[in-house]
Amino acid sequence: MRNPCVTKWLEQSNYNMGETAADEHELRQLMRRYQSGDAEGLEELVRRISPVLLRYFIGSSSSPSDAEDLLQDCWMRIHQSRHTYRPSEPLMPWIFAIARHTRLDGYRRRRRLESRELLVPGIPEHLHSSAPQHSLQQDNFDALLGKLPDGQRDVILMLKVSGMSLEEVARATSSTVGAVKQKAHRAYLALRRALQERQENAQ
Amino acid sequence: MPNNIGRKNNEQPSDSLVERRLESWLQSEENAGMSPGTQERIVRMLRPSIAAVKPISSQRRLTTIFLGIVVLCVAAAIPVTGWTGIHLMTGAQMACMMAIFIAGALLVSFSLAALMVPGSPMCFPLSGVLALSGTALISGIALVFPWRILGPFLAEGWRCAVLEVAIAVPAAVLLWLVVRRGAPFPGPGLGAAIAGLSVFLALIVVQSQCMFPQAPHILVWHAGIAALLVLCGELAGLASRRLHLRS
Repeated sequence: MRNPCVTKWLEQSNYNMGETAADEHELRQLMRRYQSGDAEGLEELVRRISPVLLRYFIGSSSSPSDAEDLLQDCWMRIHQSRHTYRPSEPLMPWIFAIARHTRLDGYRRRRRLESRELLVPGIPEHLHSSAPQHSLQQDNFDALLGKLPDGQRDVILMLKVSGMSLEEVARATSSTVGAVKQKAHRAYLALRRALQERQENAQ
Repeated sequence: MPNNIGRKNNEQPSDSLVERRLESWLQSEENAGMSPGTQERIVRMLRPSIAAVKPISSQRRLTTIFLGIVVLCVAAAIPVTGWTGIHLMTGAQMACMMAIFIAGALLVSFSLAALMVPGSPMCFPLSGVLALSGTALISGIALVFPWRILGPFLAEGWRCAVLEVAIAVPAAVLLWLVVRRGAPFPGPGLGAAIAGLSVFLALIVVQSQCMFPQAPHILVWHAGIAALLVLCGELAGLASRRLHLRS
């Protein structure tokens, strides 16, 4: 006899998979319209995909304004390489592979700029007002996410934010399903440990 | 139409405590949303250059194109450089080298075709392909060729090395002309893959004309130079990424 919890999970997965297929089909059609030069297709695609991309960038960058810059940069790259999308292939791994490269390049560019910056003796007056806001954000869950290694954070964000399957995340990160599973497992362990530590400290 | 991307997960590892926190984090970020006008700004930025584009060829077709380039270049070069090496090799040596070259070129072509398109499935990870090809080449040479040195090792070796570089470099440029149609993100992997395929091409030509079918000569002057060329390709890819970041 099948366990009721498993049955419920299977029903939910089937429902979700159906929903995913419908969504994916619509997105592919929009992408095809975009490739054939349809501006409305582009507009609808930007409207549908930008929130998901922004959530991915917020989870992996230091501030929301950085995330919005990365989003614009990412769309520019999607536009420049739109001919590399094959209509027969799933769209989200293609989008997230570009997003991942955009994030990595953004990180490298920022690190290069930071290495050239000069240290000043104190923080200028006009910057004091924004400092507490940033520290409040760091106190949240994104601070814990920020502590994860890049690869693990990418996998968790792609699985949770985009709702891609393990195979699709493997495609987006140019790795194997086994490697994705391992990274997700390690990320969960690290997050659970960090959350438990935080709870113990609070008590 | 409700935007339900990002709310459909299946077959994922789960942990109730972390799941709950992730869900609430996602909700909070969703509530934060993006600043007004961002989407309009993106559309305005892209709209002027919107034009119909032809999707890139399938992975199978790209692999065939790369293999075609290898075959054409080999067919054009061998009549010029000569067949002496083929006559000097035994049947076992020829079969072993051909098997390694053909399998290596096929696998590298497939990886290169995958690298051209973001989000392609990596059936054969490039690092694994290069490591496997290198190991097979070294083991094959060490096992089927005799371990002795005939003739001047340095003077004759240089001839093979120069010929290998002279064939591999233009072949890499030719391959790059095809690869640049895709590959929006240059990097060391792409450089190594291009160099790897052009090196296989060069190795076939060099082996066909080489008058020294002995393991030390082939290991140092053929395989050693091949490894150096792949390293150069990797460095060129790295330099190209730096340039890409600056632009």
